[in-house]
Amino acid sequence: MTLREIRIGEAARVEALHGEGALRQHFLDMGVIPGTQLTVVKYAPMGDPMELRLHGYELTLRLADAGQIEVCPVPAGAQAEKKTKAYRRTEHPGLGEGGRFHPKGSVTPLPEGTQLTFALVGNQNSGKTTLFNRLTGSKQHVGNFPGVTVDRKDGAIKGYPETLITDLPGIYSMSPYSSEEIVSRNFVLQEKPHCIINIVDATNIERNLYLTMQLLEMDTPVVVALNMMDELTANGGSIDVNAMEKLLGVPVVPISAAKGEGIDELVEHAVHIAKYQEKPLRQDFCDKSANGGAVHRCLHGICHLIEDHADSAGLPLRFAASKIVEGDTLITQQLSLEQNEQEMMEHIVTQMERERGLDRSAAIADMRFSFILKLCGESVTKPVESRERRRSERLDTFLTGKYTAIPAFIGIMALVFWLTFNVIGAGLQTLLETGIDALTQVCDSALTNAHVNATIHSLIIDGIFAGVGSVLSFLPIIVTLFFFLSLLEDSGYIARVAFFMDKLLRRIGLSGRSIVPMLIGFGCSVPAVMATRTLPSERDRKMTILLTPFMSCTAKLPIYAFFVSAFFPKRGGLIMVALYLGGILTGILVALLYKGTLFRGEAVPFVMELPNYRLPGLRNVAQLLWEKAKDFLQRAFSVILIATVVVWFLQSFDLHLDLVDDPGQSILAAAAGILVPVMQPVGLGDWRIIVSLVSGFMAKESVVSTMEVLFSEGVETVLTPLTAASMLVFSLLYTPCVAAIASVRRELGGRWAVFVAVGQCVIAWLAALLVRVIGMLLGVM
Amino acid sequence: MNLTDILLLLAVAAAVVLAVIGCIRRKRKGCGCGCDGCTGCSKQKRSSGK
Repeated sequence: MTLREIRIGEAARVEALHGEGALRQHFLDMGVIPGTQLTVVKYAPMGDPMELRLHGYELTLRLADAGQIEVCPVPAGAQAEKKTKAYRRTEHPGLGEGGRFHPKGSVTPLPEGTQLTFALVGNQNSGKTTLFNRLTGSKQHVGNFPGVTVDRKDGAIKGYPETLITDLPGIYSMSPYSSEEIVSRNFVLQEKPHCIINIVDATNIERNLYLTMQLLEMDTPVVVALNMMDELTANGGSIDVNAMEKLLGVPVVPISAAKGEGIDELVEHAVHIAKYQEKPLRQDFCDKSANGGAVHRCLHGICHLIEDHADSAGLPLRFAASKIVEGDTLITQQLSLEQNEQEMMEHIVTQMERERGLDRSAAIADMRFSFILKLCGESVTKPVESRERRRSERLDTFLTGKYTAIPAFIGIMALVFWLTFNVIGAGLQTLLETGIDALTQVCDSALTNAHVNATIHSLIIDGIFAGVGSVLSFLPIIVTLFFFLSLLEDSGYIARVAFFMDKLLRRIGLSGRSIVPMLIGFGCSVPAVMATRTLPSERDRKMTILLTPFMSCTAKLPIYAFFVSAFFPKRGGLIMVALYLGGILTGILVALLYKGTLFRGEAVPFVMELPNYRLPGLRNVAQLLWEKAKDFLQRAFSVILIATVVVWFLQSFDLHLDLVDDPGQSILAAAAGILVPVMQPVGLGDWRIIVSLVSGFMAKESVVSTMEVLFSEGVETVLTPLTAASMLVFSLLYTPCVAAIASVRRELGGRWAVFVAVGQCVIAWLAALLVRVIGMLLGVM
Repeated sequence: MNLTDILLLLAVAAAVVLAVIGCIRRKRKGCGCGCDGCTGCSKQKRSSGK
């Protein structure tokens, strides 16, 4: 029987894992190996994917993939917890403390003045960036879902200027599954840091130690940082750190990155072992007596045979041997083995598979997990059930419940937008607008009283104050929306949305994980495009990037609000919702089109860990809001200010640099005239609208500031409601700003960036035309 | 043009020059989008120490 036949609440033991390739390896790395006991927690509201509990954590996967896992049911009552040995006093082995395990003379310290390099490596969502921020004093973004960090970041450890620590994207094993995981593996293998700080989530220790086992094989000094120890101990669990140190052969330091506990001790250990290059005392974790010692003999045999090749390829021996057994072709190629040697390896592996009764990858994964279980049995006292887990279960009965998940999601998003646009954001915006208007009036009067030249007066009041002021007033709305999005990110809810939206998204050719970049896209397209790096397939990644611009970013809000207040003041909420839904709907239609043309085939499997819900950190949220506010103000006083002055200049002078009374004679009108025939059919043939839209390519907020400058008599006196509707739809869908296009170029290359810019304009033009035609048919002017 | 006009004009010119310098600095510092605080920038930025 397969896993998909197991019902909710029932337990089963893995008998065999079918399938092949990277996905199968990923399952093994996540702990789905023969012999593992797992429990079905729930199914997503639409019946697919399913949530499992294994090795003390929650994993989600699709039913189709569950069908590849052969299991045998475990009867109720037989699901006995593994007993942990009673605590006994163990002597602290003192690794890295004066070289107790490395007597003086046996190690060579690095020369004075060498910059010590550290790599921060660990599973996704284990708190690496939180620790990085603690160590370096940086303010990098953190969140509560797997895959927040998608690129490496460097910094010096506070108080140690001669150090360089690199925060890497989270990985589950040294067999990378997605593109950002390759960044981490390559860094460790190629840049060879002096020390690896392996951050391990103590509340999910079994799966986290799987990576540790592989890092120890790298023959690089390693220090293990047991993070979230505060959470573990608060729930009645504990870890015998001394016993763990002894078994692993490297220093183990309990810490709480969020609270800043144990950081100094961790740094001392890391700096010491990096300086003295104290490598792990153990790399050999295969048990000679386990299962006839087949894996042990196989690994050691291969180690002897490839020693010279590993040396010349610069690869750690034990790591290379394990990878050969797993069948990693990249590493095998690097070793440049002769045909005869390759055949020899295959014979050894085949013999091991026959003796062990497991295939090559499963045998290695099993060997590692067997050691981890032994290690945890010796040194870890697990809490019965954590408070965080209980809280998450309670919340999930509603937030991911069969009948409540989708309504709850719609309700939460509606509440976020309602609070942003109608209550908090809008209220604060009115206040700020009043202040800006008052300041403009004071300055206007002062300039008039001082008999300032009319042109300069116009530049300051009609140009700078009108342009920058109109954009500034949107600060509260944007900060409020980011506040709610960051709450969703930090709480762990976003991972749940990916879980229950997977089936829906699969219908349009995407995986549930694509929802994360898309939700981020409601904030800003740039991080959204970068967040796609967590997607394991190139097809899904490309498709998600191309769809991200359909999620209306916060920078477009001023445009909507500007037109809504001018033309549809009584239907503001309705139009805002219609615009957001319109963007999503167009995105769905385009996705269906892509699915049938550019990106045929199915989305990659959905395998994702569900983190516990956590209360968003006040410091974290406050920091994010401050960054957003600062960023917005900087943009207003840089890009927007320049655009405003340039637009004012170009609309005030003609080609002979003479002041014009009629802006229709200006340089701007002449230049924008080229595009008039193109935009005429959609009702946006006014040169001022064209200029505003073009300026929006630099920054979307610029559309409003430019309109304020160009339509000094008020936009509602010149345009009709139908034109405004066309303009809203065009603004919603046309090319993203230059920053977003640059990030598309970085991720996919120049051709795709041009495709996005031009494609979005074509789609926007067609949609605006549709709105105009429907409007005219309905008799709206 | 009187002295006030000239001073105001200089002030506007200085503001524009400062804005341009700010744009260039932010572009160099961040991911290219110019926004220092966005997640994209903070992910790419080589923070303190470099």
